[in-house]
Amino acid sequence: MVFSSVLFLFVYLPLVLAIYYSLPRKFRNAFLFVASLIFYGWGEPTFIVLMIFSTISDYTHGYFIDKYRDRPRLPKVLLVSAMIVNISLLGFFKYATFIAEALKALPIFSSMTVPLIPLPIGISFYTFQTMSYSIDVYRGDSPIQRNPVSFGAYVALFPQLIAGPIVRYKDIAHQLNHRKETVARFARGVRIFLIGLAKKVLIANQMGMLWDEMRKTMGTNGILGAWIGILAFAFQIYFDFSGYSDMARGLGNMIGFEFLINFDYPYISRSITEFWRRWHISLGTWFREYVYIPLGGNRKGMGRMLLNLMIVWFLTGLWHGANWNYVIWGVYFGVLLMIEKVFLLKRLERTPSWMQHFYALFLVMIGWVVFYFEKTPEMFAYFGHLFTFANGLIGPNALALFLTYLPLMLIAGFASTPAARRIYEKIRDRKAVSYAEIAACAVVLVLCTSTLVSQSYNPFLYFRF
Amino acid sequence: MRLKKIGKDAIIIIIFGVFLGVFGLMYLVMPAQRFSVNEKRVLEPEPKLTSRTLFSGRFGADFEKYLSDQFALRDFFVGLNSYYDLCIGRNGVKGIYAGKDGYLIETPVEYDEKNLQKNVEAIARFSGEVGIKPDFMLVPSTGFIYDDKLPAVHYPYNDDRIIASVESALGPGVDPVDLIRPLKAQKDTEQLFFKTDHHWTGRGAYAAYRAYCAEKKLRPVLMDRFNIQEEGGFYGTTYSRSALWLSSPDTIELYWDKADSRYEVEIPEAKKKSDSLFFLSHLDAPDKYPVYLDGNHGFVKIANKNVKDGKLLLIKDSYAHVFVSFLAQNYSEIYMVDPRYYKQSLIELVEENGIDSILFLYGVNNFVNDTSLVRLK
Repeated sequence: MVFSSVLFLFVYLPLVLAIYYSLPRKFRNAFLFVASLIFYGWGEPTFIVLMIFSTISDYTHGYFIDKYRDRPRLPKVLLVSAMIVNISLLGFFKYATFIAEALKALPIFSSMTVPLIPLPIGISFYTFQTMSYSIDVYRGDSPIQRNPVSFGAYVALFPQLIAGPIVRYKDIAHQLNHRKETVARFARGVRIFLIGLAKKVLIANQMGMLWDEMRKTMGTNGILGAWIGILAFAFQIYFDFSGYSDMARGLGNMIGFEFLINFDYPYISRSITEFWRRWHISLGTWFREYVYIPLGGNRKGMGRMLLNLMIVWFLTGLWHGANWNYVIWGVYFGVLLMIEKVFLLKRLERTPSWMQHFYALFLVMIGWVVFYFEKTPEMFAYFGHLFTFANGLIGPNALALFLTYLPLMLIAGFASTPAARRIYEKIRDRKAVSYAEIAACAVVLVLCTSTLVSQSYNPFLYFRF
Repeated sequence: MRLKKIGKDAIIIIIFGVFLGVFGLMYLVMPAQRFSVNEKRVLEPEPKLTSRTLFSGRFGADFEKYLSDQFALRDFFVGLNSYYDLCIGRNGVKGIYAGKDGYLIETPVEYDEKNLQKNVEAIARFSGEVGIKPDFMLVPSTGFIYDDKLPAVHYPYNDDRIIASVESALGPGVDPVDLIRPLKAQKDTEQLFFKTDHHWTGRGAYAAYRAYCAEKKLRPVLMDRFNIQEEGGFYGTTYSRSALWLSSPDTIELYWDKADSRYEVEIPEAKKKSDSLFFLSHLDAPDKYPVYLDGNHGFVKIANKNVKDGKLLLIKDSYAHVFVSFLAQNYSEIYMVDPRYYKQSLIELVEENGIDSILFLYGVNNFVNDTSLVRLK
């Protein structure tokens, strides 16, 4: 199930909230666990088994790690075992095809048949979450969760199950059993959820359409058309992903949780280093805490730090998808971060700020080209469109599309900056603003509903036949 | 201050909860709709829950379709979305431009060059086999003829280039009849295309009929030969697709011969026979275009007992239906064939009935995407 669907908004969510609040507190986690399994299993019930398996595995590992804490070596063995289980799950279901195809390039494997394994939804997110639990327990950073139902609720929690944020166990351990649902928190949840819904339904989807349309006439769009196209994709991926994270945080608030923020206006960054502090923060944090720092981080000299960075960014790239372009994308940022760490960041700081913004955005956009095109020849062809005048400045279709979407792109650009938020914070206590806010919530609800409902509006007009 | 804050929060929660809850409850309260008039399709039925549909994910997907199709006030929300898109500048995203003077115009056709190539080859081959040199007419789209009614920002219309390339590819095997010039010449004096439908009006078809007669050296009947019956309230296909519900309807015209007409119209597949070119029951529906010859059928035979000779095979799409209102005055028999539904041999049809003329008549948007012409035989 996805948040931006009629089913979720008008059936699942009202039911879940109504039942949740009519239950006494002690049953709420159990209910959340069951409700989350239904949420997850709606699309493909088979994979519930996988998630429950991962849950049981880490629950048990955590339990014994804690129990044998004082023994030598045993906790470490258990931790390694927990990691192996999770990484094998992820490795098999997400990367088996990719690895097999890579191996096929070697002569001895050339006759191997490549298995086609469907990717279970959310597996990249929940395996990372369960791993964080075992590690946190091992390190003594968080207490163990003795109640399997509460632990199950943590892993399966529907708000962040399928698209993050990746909630580390220690950030939520206390809330699992001691959270407070309040009117203020619920209302904040509604606001954040609606902001996220609007980002997804009113901006990201439309930017996606623009990008799709642009690609139909890729060869004649001209250099400006190519840049507008990739800008549309940049908006699409940001508003889609951060919209989902906002919806997750909002839903969490509605049931009393507080999740950490996942996107912090990444497109206003002045360097790649800053960009990655603002983009998908929960993933960056995860890799820093559980990979980069354990590898020694920057404490073991320059050479080791660069190696660690490379490892982390190789993995970050790979996490995004089982294809070489994601690896290249990750390594590309790894290299940029290295360069910035070694000398560039200091120099950048001495340049005018518009230049820093330009530098960061330019490199991020180049990154999106690598990220989008899974096939290398298409990627290179697009770079050709971006950097040569072979197709002129802008084609007629690209121009019409650009003008059609200009208002929305301006809105998207504005919404990528914290300007609106700053204004709101200054004037929020005025009475008129309160009314405006209430009206805005209603308008967003109605507009998003109308957009979702019209997606199924599909006149079958046999005129054309 | 504190109280006020809670007041605002409470209102936001109530709006949210009531909105989701009420529209959720509507599913229980409202009876399921089975058919959508605007979309002309059967709506998604309530999906059946079996272990097979559940585990394949079918149930989940169908259920979402069912919920969207059955959403309370669905037409209102769909329309609201269309007007919102217009406000935000996205004119044409549903494939229909909201133009000037109430014109709802299809965006330029998208097509596959290879498919067009195949259609052209099929017609060239058929023309060679049938032994009669066909006439060939492609009707340009509304947006090409009424380019002045288009919104300021729109995709380019290339109907002239498409038609020219088709005709040059067909070469001397067919006689092309140019419609762009006569339609362009009259577009400001008469309404040649509907505003809420993709078809041409009777006036547009008449202009084409004159051009055809000139090409064939036939004597065209004059407009004043007809009693014109005007029917308002026509909401056609571009209206349905745009979902811009506040648009004004078109008027559709029926052309009744002032003299005694003696038509025999046969539609074997629908077991219908009539002495009129107009099927008036369709005037009750919002989309009234099927009033001409009862809409789409694979085979329709139109005989005019007032005309002595001339037997025509008309290979066509729906643009032909109104065109026949005039053309039937010049042929004793018209065999109207829609290759999408008519699978038998046309060559045999020609031989068995002594047909002496052939005309291809297609809207250019349909022609480029047609996939049935390749089967012509």
